Amino acid sequence: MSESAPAEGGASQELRVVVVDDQALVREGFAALLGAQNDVRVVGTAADGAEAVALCRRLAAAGEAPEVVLMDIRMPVRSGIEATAEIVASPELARTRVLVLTTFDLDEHVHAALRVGASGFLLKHATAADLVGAVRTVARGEALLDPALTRRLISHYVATHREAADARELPARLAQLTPKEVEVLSLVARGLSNREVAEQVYVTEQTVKSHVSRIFTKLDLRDRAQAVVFAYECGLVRPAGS
Amino acid sequence: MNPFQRGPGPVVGPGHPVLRVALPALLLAMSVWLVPSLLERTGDTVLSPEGLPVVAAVSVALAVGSTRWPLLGWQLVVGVVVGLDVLLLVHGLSRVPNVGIAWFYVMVVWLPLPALIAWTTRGRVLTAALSATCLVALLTIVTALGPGGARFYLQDIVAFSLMGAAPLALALVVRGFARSRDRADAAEQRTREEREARAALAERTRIAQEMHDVVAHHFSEVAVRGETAPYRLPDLPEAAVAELRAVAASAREAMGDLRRLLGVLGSPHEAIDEVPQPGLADLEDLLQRARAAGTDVTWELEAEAPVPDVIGLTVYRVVAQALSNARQHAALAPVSVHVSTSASADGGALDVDVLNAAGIDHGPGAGLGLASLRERVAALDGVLTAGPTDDGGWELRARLPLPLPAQEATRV
Repeated sequence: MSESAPAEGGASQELRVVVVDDQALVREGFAALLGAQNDVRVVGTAADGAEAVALCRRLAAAGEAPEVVLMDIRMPVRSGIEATAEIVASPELARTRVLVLTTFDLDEHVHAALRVGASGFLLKHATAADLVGAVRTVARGEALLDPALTRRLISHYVATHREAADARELPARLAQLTPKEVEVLSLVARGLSNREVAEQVYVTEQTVKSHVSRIFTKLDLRDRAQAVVFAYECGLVRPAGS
Repeated sequence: MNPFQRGPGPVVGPGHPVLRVALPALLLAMSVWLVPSLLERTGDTVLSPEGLPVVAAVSVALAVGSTRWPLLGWQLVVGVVVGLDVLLLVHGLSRVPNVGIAWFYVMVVWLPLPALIAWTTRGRVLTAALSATCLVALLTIVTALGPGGARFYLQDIVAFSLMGAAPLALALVVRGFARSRDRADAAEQRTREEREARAALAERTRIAQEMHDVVAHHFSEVAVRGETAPYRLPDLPEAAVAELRAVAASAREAMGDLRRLLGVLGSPHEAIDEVPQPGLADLEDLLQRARAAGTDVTWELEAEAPVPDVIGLTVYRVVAQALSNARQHAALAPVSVHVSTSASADGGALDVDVLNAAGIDHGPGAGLGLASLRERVAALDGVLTAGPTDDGGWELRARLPLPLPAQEATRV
């Protein structure tokens, strides 16, 4: 959340955002807050997970697929986790990123949401500036949202929830990468932005960008949050103190 | 079991029926069997055969008394034996008429007493009693073998010693078994208590977490409200915007404190459900689902006063658990649920009443359900009662105090 420059593609292009929360007050409050930004347009709101998925599909069909979905986790009918999984699995929503909203920070459901494909998480009671900044960061995809907290969350749960099958498969997937790509991945997984990675490995930011996108393609990763989950789960990055 | 009495206890307490019957019988038999041969041996003329019933009666009285107060009986006998020993040592047997009789008699009577003490006492008292018995026995043997005791024979001493030692040995062996059994029982009891304590703690933490969730939700709402107000409400004065931001900041701070408070309870926050915590508004839905699942349930929900969410959550849990209990212990029986509020000067109360008729009992459940409900209700200063009804059914009642509406208004 360090940068707050307008989205890639210029300030003229508005970010399409969907707000999903079962509390009307939160939904409307965030919609008003985001709608007041020049570069953001709230294209819809939903009160539960099922409604959210339907809304996103409808928007995609109309050529208005949202760039960012602000998604509450605990909702009736369908939880935010299920809705997130479904959105990221939908081909027509390939460019849509989910930013998970949580009342409580480091809980298991946030981790679950990241595992199924959320791009980041944010406390519901974040300040207005943080919320807007988070939406922009997630939309841009160049830096991990709240790297320190994300890493703490993932490393906490990876230690306790490692799934055996995944653990065997992951190193094999890692073998598809060149040594340079592995290096870049491990830095990305530590929460470094493209610019910071570029400084570390002595290449231009543009080169890092293309490395990152090749890594994501090879590993079938959606974005940086997934890269962190992957790096921890395959053991490329180890939780501190273990 | 008395928790203050953790160590191995006496095998049988004084006055145990076995002792009350067996010991007098044994003593009576020994008196009747031994005293005539004793009379014959000593050639004593003072105690005629007609005196035998008297001897037997005294034996039984002493024995019965000893079963009630074994230590006292034993002290009495030891005292008499020591006295007689001293008398014999000083004067010689032949010069003290009837002493032989008394001496033999006492020997016979006190033989089973150490065994009795071994059965009924423990620890240091037992050690002291057995040591003293050995000393007295030694003194008696010395006396018997001494000049005054010429008319007693080694075989008598051996016979008496064996008669005394056998029950004592038996008592000690049984005692050893009982002690190891007690120890195993105590260990099992401790394990069970620890398990229960752990379960209770886990349950309490869960309750705290659920309540935390509800409260944190409110604070989150306050924070979001304050933070988004300037965007929702156009033309707010600058001062009002600053004030609302400050309110939001305080709410954030309170949430952080709440989290730390939960940490003090010893458990990191683990997310409980993916859906929000249920409340009073979800009660109808819960009952509908129970009905759809086959429970014959009717209900009246008449909560009129505003009910705080934490109380609503508790009511929901109480009703859910009561329905589950009814299914477990009275399957197919009709269940009626009644939730109502009543107002009073001190804020009123919310009453939950779940009543079911007798049905098919599927046996005991985990047993934690009711205990957990008590914890929940007690945490809100409420009272929970549950018990069988006259017609074989079961009734669970919970009464939760409600805050005054005015207090509620100032609190939010």
